[in-house]
Amino acid sequence: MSNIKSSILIVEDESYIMKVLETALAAGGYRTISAVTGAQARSAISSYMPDMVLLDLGLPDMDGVKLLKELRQWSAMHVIVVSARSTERDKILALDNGADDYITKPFSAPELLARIRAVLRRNSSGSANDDTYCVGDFNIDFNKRIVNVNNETIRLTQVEYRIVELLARNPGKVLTYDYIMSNIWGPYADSENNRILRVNMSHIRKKLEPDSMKPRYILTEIGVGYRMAE
Amino acid sequence: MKSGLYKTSSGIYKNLQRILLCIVFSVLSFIFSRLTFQNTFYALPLCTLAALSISIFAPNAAWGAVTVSAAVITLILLEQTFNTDNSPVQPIAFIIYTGAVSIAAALITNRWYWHIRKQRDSYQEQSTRERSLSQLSTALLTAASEEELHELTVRSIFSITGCSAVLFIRDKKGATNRAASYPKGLLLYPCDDAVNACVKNNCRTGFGTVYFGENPLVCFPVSANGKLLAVAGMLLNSDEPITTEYQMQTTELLLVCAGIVLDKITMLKREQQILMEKELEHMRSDFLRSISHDFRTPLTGIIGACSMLNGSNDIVLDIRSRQELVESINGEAEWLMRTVENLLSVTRVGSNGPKLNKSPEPIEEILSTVLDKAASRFPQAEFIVKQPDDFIMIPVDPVLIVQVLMNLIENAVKYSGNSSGIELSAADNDKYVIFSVRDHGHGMKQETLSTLFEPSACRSGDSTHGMGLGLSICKSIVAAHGGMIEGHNAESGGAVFMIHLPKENNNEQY
Repeated sequence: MSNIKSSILIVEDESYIMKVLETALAAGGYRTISAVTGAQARSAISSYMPDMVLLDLGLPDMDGVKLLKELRQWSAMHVIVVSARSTERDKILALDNGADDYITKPFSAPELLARIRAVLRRNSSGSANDDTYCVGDFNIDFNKRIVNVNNETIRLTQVEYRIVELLARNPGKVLTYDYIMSNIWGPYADSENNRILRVNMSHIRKKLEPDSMKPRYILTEIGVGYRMAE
Repeated sequence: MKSGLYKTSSGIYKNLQRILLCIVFSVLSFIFSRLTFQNTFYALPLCTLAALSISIFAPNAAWGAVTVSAAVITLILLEQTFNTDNSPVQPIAFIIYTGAVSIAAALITNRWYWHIRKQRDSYQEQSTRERSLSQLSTALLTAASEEELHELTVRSIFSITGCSAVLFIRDKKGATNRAASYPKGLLLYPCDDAVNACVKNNCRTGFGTVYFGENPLVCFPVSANGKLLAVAGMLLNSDEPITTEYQMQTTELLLVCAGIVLDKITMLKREQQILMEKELEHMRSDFLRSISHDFRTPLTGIIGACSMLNGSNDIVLDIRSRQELVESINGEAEWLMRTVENLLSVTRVGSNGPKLNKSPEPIEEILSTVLDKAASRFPQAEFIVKQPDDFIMIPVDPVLIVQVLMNLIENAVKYSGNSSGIELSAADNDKYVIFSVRDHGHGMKQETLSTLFEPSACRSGDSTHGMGLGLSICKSIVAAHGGMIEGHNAESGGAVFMIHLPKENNNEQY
């Protein structure tokens, strides 16, 4: 990592949570900028160009998802969405609109810092262009299209391999059901009915995971999507 | 029916029959008196008696007189023709005199007869009307719901008049909406004017009245306690547009009854609404009481620990006990957070209709998510998971169902007294998937079993604070899914909680 501290813009309207976040992030070695409203966040993004935005979805003046959409039109800046229980649906919407990750209130400081580190690392390693991806005993070779677990080659069907590859090229990132559906079965796939994806995932897990009840490589984000372990 | 009766008896044929009968009687009585008494004189009373009795049934006095005259004239003719022997000749004048008296008698008796008969008919008619009315109004009285009453009303109008009927109900805003019709789906010409006039003037409007008399619909106001509740419409048959005044009156009487019943049902409904609100209010206050009790306990702990840490008193704390205090604050705060989350779920599935984010989810993913959460929250506990071999998806709100299962696991870990070997399983049962959480602890007290899923303030007084609240929340979430939750003690010891969730997307089951 570089010597310069990464800067993080916190967009949060609750002053108490803002204070906690600032303290936690400062302790984690980040420089923080704060914005209370969507309008403030907009100007702070363009004037400070932070490395990451911690975006609360429930803003007083505008929809957090709208802000994210605007940002994504001109920048690939990292965005972690912070959602409360009442904004579950928005969470998926935010992921589909280009958020890198999400975290649900309430969360602990170590959890938040770990998520931030993961997102920042993802960028610096540029794993999407790598030839292989490894996590624990899991290994995938994108060129040879081979998946190994415990040095044993796993036989996957064409579709199963493509799902695993898609997840492995975005390690640590939650991919929503809709996103995976449209990437594997095309944009016209009936994303309302994702049974085919769920069945395939069940098969993949039976093949990959030593205990499919305690998955280690492909994790379930219930109601949202899947995530490849880092 | 009434007019028909008159028609048949006033037929010329019938009258001629009667006249013929009188002539035959005259001849017979003439022959009888000749043979028995050798005297025609005795034929006269016999003949007039027969003629009088027959003339009673004549449709009117004139025909009655004609009938009697026929008998008398026949007798005169017979007397003149056959009186050849030397029996004393009856003076024709006497016969004529008797005839005149008979005709007068016939006139009077006929009149009386018809008068009595008319009265009898009208009594009969009235009693039939009353009987049918009472039958219909009894049916109306037994109507359980407003819809049933609407249906019954239109059907009764049809059975009285034979006309298609329709009922418009006046809502709170004063607008009239069609509530029922017989036959169903009856098509109507525009009739809003007539209906509105009926509402406005509270009198019969439409066909044959001063208001929109050209409209084929006759509108009757349906009111009770001087308040117009509805408008009943009767569509006159185009081929037989005349409905008798009697039918109109019966309909009106029936509608009075319908109005009273309608008023009664509305009042009952309002009463029930009030009762339900009271019950709800009672439940709400119970719920609030139990929540505030549940919240007070951990909050007391947090405030106590904070005051110790603040060091305002003279207690000197070592690092170890400071850490313990911080941990206890954290633990209590986390419990509070979870409870608040639970409460949020309940408001989501609460009274304003369930707002579930349902999606088909594989059972294995639900179970593995619960297991993952349970393992991180209770690292010391030990879980056994069982699931069906088949791949099954059920329509659920995954976040809420995971929360329900987590609540059950939390109870199993905390209150069973034995956190090892807690079983989490799912089984496939035709229409339902049954999730169950089972522990091997000391089970639940017999007296709490019946009120397990009720938020009760009194039970949370013991150490198991929050258990009742958690379970009542579980119940409301499962109910919103159209499922069922139950809890009991297993025969081999320990508590078992089972959740039945329908596989099909149907809230009406169970």
